[in-house]
Amino acid sequence: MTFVYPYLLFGLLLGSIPIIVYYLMRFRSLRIPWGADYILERALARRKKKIYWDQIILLALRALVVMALVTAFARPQSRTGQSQETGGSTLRIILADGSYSMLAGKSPQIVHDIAVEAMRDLVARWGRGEKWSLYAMDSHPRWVVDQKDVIDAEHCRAILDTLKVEETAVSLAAGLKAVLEHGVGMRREIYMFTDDQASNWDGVDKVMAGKDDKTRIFWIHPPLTDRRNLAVTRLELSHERVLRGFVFSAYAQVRNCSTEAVRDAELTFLVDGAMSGVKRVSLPPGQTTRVSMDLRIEEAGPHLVTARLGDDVLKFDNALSAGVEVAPAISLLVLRDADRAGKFDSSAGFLGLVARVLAGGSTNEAAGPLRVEEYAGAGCELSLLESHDAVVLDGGRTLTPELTATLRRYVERGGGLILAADDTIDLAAWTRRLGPAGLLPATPARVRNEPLAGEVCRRLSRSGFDLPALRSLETGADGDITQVRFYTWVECETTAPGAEVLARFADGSSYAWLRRWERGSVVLLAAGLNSRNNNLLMRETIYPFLLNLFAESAGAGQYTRCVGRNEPVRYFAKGEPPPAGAMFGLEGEEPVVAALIPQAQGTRVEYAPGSSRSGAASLLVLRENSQERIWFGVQGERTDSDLTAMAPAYRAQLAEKLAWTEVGSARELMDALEQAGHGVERYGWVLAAVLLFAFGELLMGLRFV
Amino acid sequence: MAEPKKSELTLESVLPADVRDALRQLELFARKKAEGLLHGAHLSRRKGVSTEFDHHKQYMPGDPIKHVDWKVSARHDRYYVKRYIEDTALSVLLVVDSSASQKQATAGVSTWRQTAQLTACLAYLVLRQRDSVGLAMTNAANTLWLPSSSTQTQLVRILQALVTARAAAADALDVSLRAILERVSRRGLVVVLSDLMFEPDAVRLDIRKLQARGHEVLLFQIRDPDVEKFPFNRWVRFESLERAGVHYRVDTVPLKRFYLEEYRDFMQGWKTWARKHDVHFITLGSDEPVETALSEYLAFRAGGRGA
Repeated sequence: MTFVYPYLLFGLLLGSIPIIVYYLMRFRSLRIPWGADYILERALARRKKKIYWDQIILLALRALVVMALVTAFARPQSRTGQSQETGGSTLRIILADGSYSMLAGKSPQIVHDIAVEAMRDLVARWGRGEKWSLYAMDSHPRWVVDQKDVIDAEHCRAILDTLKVEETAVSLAAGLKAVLEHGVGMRREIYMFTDDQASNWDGVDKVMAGKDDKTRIFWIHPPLTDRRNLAVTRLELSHERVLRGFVFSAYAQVRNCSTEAVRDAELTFLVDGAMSGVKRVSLPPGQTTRVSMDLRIEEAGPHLVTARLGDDVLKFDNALSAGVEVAPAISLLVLRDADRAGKFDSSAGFLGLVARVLAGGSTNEAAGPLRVEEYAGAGCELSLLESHDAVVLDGGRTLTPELTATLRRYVERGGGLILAADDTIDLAAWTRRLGPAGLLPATPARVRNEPLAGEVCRRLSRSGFDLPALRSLETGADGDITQVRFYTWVECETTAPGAEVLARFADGSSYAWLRRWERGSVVLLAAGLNSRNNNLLMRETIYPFLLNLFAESAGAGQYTRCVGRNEPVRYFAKGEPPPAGAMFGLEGEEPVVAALIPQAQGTRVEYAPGSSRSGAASLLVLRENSQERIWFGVQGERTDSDLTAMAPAYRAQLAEKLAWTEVGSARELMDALEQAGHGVERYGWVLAAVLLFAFGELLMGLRFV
Repeated sequence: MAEPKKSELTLESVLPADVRDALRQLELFARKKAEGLLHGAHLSRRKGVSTEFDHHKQYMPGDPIKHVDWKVSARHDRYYVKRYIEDTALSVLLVVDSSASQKQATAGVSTWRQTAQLTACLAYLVLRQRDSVGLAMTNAANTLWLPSSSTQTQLVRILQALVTARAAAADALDVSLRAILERVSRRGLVVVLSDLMFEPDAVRLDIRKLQARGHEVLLFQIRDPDVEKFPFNRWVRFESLERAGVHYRVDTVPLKRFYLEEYRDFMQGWKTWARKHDVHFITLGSDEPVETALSEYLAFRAGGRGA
């Protein structure tokens, strides 16, 4: 028998209080003149000895009540023989694994739930005043409770309920090292609530220096029978802004995180929760594959694309989402010089033709997805540019410093600029004006002008990039993309930092570059869209590619709909009336208020903290008479999906060194503690003694009534 | 003129006017045949001048000739004389315990005050019906003796004695009773007023002797509420009123039950003894109205007259 608070045993001296009170009351007795001596003497003479013994027994009982209460407060405990030798009180330490793998298991038997249940049962055995600590291992390993007194079980449980599993891996070696360095010299009971994932346990065998004879370790790890786990590790869209009714691609990356091969697992693509297509995935252990799915959305507005695998042992890594904006149409503004008014002199002619074709041959371009305007004035107002989704700058357009500055501001504020470098380009002017302004993804070096329908030409490559618009051209029905030929083009040399190549010619040279600048983007095409020397009109199959290119460019100003964990979530809200409020929501969690930041062309809606976990998120933008939900996909790295158990030999080595007691559930933990009689409080017996003594005192008192 | 304290006795407070009015309609009759010098309302054990015939007696020389019943003498051819029951005045002796235990008081009202009032009421009652009353007030240190008298000044003397007396010293009731046995030869009514807080055997023996002499004995016990109920629940130092320097320091909580048992046995002992020896035993709380208790007892007594 030991005590949690042995120093409280000095309080046994309080047992003298009833005796002191007895004599104090006797000393302060009431003085009464009394005439009935005769009766009083007779009563005293006959009962004096009985009263004397009654007083002795009463005093003894009262003293025992006080002493038993003091003993109860000192918290007597039963200990094993080993613990009895060490003496002193015990520090209880809970080591809680908050890594992603703790979500493994079939509901309701998820490892984390079983661990929390065991923790709750464990703290229920503790009493007020005991010392305990809680070390949470998640993305920020920390002491949640650092050698605090237990107030009561409910308080401990409230703290335990704050523990969450995060999308992170943890190092048990670091965690155990911190725990073993905690409360050195004290008698410790360490309760490890973690799984047997091999990656977690790496290096644990090197950090056991702090383990001493006073430390006893319990390892609570619910067993996993099925460890086959597939994870969607990435979901990308070919464009985050697409045209209504036009095909775009979703690419899902799937990894087999288990040690067994997986066959024919279903990967479902969903748009706004509705299934759009299914692919079957077979993967060897540890391998990753990329699965694409062509999607087409017929409704304009923000949408959510999700790739989801069927449920397995760790279902929380089976889905990822991405947001996409579907535009009903794109309006282009072509900037040309007034003296280049010929049908084939500027892009406007060709693009106008494309617009009419897409409108079904109608002369009303507004009926189609592409609307083209041209501007040949000398100056150009920024407001004119910003009233269109993208601006096409012809190669023959005279570049003035004013125009360059306006274009730069246009891009900085989120505009999409398409540079169509045709054979009329003034290379020196472009390099001089646009280069320093940061508007050139690559530096045009020279113009190649080959005879029309001659042998020398350039064709678009199908393999340089994977766009559905080009992939469909492989079919015989649609013809061959190679028939789109360029007889004039510009050869570029230096690619600007941050620029990426969107498309290439068949010979491997670049055809289209993209450079994001401030909030906008610049697309440089190595060949013009004027079709004077190019047979762009030969095949309409180039149209989808161009439209997706325009859509991408038109969406330059919009913030990405696919963000990482803890990255800011932003949306640029245009139009009237301005947003009155906005809420950020993550599925399964309470929505929070997002910030509204007024800007020149609209309002930026922002939730800077972002989401701490992967999943579908949204910004609900509230206007005066309407509301709009903008979907975002939050995608974090899958760092803890591998459920491989540690090697048996390594496990045996650790078991020998740490001498842990290994249990699989709350019930087994309780049984283990009961069998060891370890840390079992005995104050129940003491309180029973208190009650017994108090009852005896009551009975003695009743004798006098 | 300063108002007297509530605890102090005055002539007016010991027999207030309203109490006198309440007692005006009451009469105290002797249950036994009295033996007095004057004609009165009570039956005398002597045969004498009266209108109430008792029996015939054969004439003996010296008998008054006027009492000869000639009709009966002629019928029996002998001389017979008539005998009549004689009425006589009642002689009442009030024996008051003035020991220090009578100073026992609850809420400022002492048993001595109640005893004095009861004594005064009885004296008034007796003198109003022209009987004689005497007073013996006794304790171990002092005994006051007022011989019986039926004059109205006797009431003043008794009241004066009660007002000036102080309860003191130990009990000596048995001594007074023995003095009565020695001094009073005529039969009468002996009224004992006491709290009875003493060893009862000696007093009981003397009462029996008084009864043997033909006296009727009434026993009034004046009770104090604290003594009767023992309402204490802490340590108390009981300081003896009769014996200087004697005290008892006791925890009243465990003692209470035993004390009340003793008190109940004590009272039951007196009641049983009184019933057995035909002594009227009347108990009266010091907080009860005297006239009410007295009228109830006299009504009871009148109902059983001659029994």
